[in-house]
Amino acid sequence: MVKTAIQNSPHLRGKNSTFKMMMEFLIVVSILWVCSIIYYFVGDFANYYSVQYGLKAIGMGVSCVLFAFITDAIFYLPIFWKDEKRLKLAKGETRVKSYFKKLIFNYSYVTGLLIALLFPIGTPVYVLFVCTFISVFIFKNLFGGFGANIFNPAIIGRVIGQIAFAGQLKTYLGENAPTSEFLNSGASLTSQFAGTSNSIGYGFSQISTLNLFIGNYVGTLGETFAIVIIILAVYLMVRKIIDWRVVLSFVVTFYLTYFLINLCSGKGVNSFENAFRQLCVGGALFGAVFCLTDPVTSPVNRTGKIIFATGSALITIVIRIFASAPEGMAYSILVMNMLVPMIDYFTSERTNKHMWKKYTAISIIPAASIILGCSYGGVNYVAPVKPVTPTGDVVLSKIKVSNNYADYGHYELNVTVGTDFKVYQIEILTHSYTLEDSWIQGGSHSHVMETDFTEFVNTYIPTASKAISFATYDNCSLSDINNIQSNSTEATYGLVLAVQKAINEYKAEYTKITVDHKGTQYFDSFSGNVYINDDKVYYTEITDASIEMDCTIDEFLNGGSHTTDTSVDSTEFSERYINRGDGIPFSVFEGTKVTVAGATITSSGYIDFVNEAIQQYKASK
Amino acid sequence: MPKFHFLATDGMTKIDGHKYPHCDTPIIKYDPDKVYIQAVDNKGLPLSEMVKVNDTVCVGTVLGIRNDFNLPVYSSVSGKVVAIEKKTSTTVGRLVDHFVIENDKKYTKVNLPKLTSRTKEAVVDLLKKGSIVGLGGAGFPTFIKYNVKPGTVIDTILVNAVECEPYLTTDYVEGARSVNDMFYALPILMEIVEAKQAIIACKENKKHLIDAIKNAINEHKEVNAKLVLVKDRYPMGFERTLIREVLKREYEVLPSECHVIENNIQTLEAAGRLFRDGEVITRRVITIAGEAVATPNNYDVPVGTMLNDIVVNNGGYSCEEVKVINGGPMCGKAVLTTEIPVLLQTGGFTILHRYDIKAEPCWKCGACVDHCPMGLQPVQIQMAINRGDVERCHDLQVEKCVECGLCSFVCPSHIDVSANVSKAKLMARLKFKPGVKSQKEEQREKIKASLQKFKDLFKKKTPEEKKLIEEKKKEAKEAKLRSKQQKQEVKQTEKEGN
Repeated sequence: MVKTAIQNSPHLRGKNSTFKMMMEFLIVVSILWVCSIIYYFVGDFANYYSVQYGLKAIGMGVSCVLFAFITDAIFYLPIFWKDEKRLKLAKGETRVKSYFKKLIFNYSYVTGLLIALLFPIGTPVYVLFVCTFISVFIFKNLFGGFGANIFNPAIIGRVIGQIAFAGQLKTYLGENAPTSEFLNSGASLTSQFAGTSNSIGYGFSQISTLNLFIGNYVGTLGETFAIVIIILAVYLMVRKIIDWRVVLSFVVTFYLTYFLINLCSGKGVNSFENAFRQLCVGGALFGAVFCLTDPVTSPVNRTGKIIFATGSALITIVIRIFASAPEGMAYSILVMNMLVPMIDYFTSERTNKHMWKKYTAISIIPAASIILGCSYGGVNYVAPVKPVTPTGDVVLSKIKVSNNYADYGHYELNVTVGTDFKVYQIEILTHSYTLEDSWIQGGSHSHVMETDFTEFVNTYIPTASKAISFATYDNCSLSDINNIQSNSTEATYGLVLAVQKAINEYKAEYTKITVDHKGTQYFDSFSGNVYINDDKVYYTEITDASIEMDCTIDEFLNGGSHTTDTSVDSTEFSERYINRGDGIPFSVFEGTKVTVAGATITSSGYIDFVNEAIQQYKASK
Repeated sequence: MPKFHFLATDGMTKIDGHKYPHCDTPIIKYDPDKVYIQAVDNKGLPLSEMVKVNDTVCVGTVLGIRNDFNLPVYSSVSGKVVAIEKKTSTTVGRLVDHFVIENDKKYTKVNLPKLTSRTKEAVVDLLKKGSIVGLGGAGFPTFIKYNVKPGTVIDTILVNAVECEPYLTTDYVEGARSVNDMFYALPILMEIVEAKQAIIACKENKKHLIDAIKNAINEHKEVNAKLVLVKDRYPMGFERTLIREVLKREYEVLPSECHVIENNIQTLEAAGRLFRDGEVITRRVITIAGEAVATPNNYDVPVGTMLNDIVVNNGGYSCEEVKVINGGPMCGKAVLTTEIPVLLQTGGFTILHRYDIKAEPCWKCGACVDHCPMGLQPVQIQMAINRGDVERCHDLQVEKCVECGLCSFVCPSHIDVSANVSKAKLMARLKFKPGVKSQKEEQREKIKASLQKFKDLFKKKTPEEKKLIEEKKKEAKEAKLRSKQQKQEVKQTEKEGN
């Protein structure tokens, strides 16, 4: 006879196990950690050697895992200290063995590694210890250990660090921030743009989209490598360790809403890029892939999971645009964690019945995202500035420049210039200062509301009715700007510098002839530059003139009267010899005796000056 | 239901079938010295008109009549009734009386009369006399299925040859062997219930069976039969899931609600033999497979053969401690002893090693929810029953559970989810008998009633209804006036009293 055993059916079990899944998840998360270690070893950092940065990255991960393990050990020691009968040990199992089994099957070390990846490189070790201890001891083990916690323990640890040790979370080692490129406080990039009044796709633009995508900047350890996170997420989704519905519905809602906000506020094609930038920063991807998908703290059925993820995306966006709190992602995950039992309750009917109800439920939230996106974007709508309609045969061309000054900030501009050497339009694509979009229409660009920038804007920003000549920018210095407006900021000068750069780029297309013309009399000497292209004179830039006239050189070049004699009308002169946009052929100047009405010796001196330039140009050819 | 629902359950899962190599080996015929035939019905009550000890019986002699469905119990061998002994019954679940019949191995037969007239009464009567029960494992009497109430429309007879349980191969082997018997029964049964078509559902990967059925369909072109191939998934062979998968229909209690009668392929073959020759079920092909038997195989044995006899005489067990499962490993129940006789409905035994897996805490991953073929949420039911909330279990519709065991199978934490759900189902059935309603249902009904009232307000009214409403209004006004007058009178009397 053989012995028979009785057990519950089914007697076959699947090969999948929680332990295997958690180990695979741990390996995937540590790949991200290895990426950050490599980045900190390779990267070029001031203050310290990059080896020290790399070692710190290793140390953070190791210590967090260790702290989590120690916390578990402390928590479960009294429980396993009791007599063996109470523990209900299985056959052939000692107390010590079951104690260590408990430590391993509580998976707190996964939490520990996630916490390490959620902090920036400059975080002191004691901060990590406190955060790990509180999150594992109170928010995981006191709730009942693995499987019973309400909040995501890793996110709880991060938020405690954010609240209690905000000053200690630095993205560099040492006392002071090394350069302005380093983010000087807060955990992530989003903290840098906290407090700005306008966050539509702006801010943090020191870093290009490519760098944001590959993670070539300092932030928290794990969140920066967008491309690595995406690859790992795909792997986890294919292996069915995380649910693709959660990640995908989060990303889609998040991207769609930001895209709509940008589109409705008039950003045009840039909306695609701006929405993507928002996704890359602030741990949005990291949270969506590694924290939101935690099965313990997310709903059990598929409808619930989608509602959970989309809700989280919406709350993140609301926090980012209204509350200007840096860690929108973390708070939104915690809020949605609290709602999980409610979601489970309301989606508890059979999953293959009443499908229309479920589709209605999950379509409400995308609808909300569309409403939020369109309305917030619409309220902040800024019409693009209409360029001046050029007169005559002026040909406009657009120049894109980006300029980065340590003191005057970063700008990315589209400058529209004409062949008459005037600036017709300035479009600000990105900037590092807290500007209102309406600034280029004459509004304020400072937090200080009393400051009035009307004069600056009138002088330097072209509007629908006036273009501004290159000379205005060329001759501008910081003191000029300070003269115009005592409260003027560095940002204003930064803009002028960026436009100057664009102008210089444009001028480089022309042949520049520098001439120092000595006239026959004391008032007909000119010196300056003549810009020539295709045997035509386009622009003269007079740096010095010995003329005595009632107008400035600027006015002279723009066709103003240049004599004291009011009866003299120089319109005909300027119409013939001063460029209106299409260039003046050499033949007009060559061999000309000034016969037109309103010509004076001064004006004939100007023509001689241009002729000299033409001759030089021909000689050089 | 569309095929791809990213919100609904997957429903089916691919499970390793463990059907090789014994599905292709020839069937072994085994004749025992003694057979043990249950002398009680499924409720544990003794049979009526029992034969006595020392009576001589033939194959097909009536041993007694079951009280629950009035089905006769037939002897499966010829010989002498030696004794009545207590043996374990898998249907009753305890030790019950069994006839012990000594087999003289002559197999002298007593046949029933053949089917003569094709009327419904005659066919149902013969099915009842022939004691045909569902041979897929449930043992539900077939005559009840075909004794449809007048007015019920049946358009399809669904033949279930799927056999989704791992290890079991009887439908595959026996179904293919005598498929022509089925085609004798099908036209008769289709005629009496006026069904237009017969659908034979079979798994894609059962090549021999598919070939056999195709040939039979070609031979019997007068029968409107159709072969439908289904995927190799578990639990495809369950009545509800198969009807949902093949016909896209759903029902509450009986398949006849959605105009379908569903039968196992072996049941119909037995019915065919009964109609043609008057032969009752006396032999079964059963599978005995699993890791713990030395040679897994299919055995052709008389009903009542002891499991232990078959195994010991054909290779024996391969280990010391085994787990005997009545049926397949997914939803078969483990039995305490190897001394169990083969019943009419027994499809096979699975004999496995004992295993012990320690369960980890539930981490609410939702694997059970994603796989439940009925779309239930086992994890929520489990949480509810663990805190003793039977009402919540009822609201989660635990009564719909088909106990396929898939939730335990897929659980990565190795929790006995299906055991917990079965417990919840039992308790919910005890507490919420028909007519008893939970709070949530009552609330729902209230809401429905109030909605109906609201809808009635906007309905177009016939003049008679209008008159009624006006009369009611008048009555209400008069009642108000009366009450006012009464109040005034009371006041006046009070005043006067003062």
